[in-house]
Amino acid sequence: MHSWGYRLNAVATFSLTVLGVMCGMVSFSDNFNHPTPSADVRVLNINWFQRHPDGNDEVSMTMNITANLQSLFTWNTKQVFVFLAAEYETPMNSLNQVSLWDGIIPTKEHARFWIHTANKYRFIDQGSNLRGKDFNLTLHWHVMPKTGKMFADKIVMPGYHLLEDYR
Amino acid sequence: MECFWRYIRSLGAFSSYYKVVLREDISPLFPRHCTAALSPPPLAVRPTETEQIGLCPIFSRFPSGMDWQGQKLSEQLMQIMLVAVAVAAYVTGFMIESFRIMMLIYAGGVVLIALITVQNWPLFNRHPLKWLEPSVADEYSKEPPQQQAAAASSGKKKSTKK
Repeated sequence: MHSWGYRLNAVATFSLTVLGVMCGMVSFSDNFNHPTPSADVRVLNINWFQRHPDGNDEVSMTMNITANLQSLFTWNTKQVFVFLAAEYETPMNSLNQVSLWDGIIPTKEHARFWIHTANKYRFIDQGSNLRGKDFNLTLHWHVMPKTGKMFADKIVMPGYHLLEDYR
Repeated sequence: MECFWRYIRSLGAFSSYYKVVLREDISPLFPRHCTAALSPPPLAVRPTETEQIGLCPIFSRFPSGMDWQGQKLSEQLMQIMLVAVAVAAYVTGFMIESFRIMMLIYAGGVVLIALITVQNWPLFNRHPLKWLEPSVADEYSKEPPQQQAAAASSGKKKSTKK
């Protein structure tokens, strides 16, 4: 500590180490948040339901997505990435997950939303198994922190059904 | 090898090291030929600013002379204040639920602490080292190092008897 350069180096190094510890503690405090999110999806209309020449089914639908994800936000939340996936079983795969829509929620104020949209991404099956299929619509979210651990969870909404015939 | 073990033993007694150095009647903790990073200069001839700092001459234009007690105080102040500022910033940020405020308080605190501990304020020079008079030091400066260390301690005794 005999020169100003030495002392400056000591201050800089120690302050960065302490900053690292502080960020670890901030991330740890996220574990004390117990969120209570809610969501509801209504399929308003199946726009079309066709089979491709190569044998894969495709569906286009219009949905009403309502959700309240405000309790997910803490002081350590940068944004929440949320996406809606259709999940179903086929003889070939025990679980198929197809992402239909996603969005980024930047602040707590935006976390309570109602959106009327067609599926943003194409709902295409591996094969032609969708006729008469029961599927779940699951809302997944990833709480992206400012520092530390990312938490991910979902709400499963079962009971959606596709018709027997193509349209 | 002896130097190595002395150095290791000295690390355990580091807290009392600063007090030991200031006593005039005992020889320095390390013989001069041991190049341990913590060894003080033998208290015979006052080293030039450059030698004291041990850096390239460009830095010697800015005197950084804190005495040993001052250096210890500066280091302790830095450590305690940094942890205190970090705790205060975290608690405030947690209460207000603002990450940004926490970082701002911490950054401000770090700048403040750097201003206080890096610059050698008079607070850090309250126990200055006592050097020999130049005439006595000159007499011994031409002798080999080991004899010089012994002569330095006897030289100090001579000057106090005067």
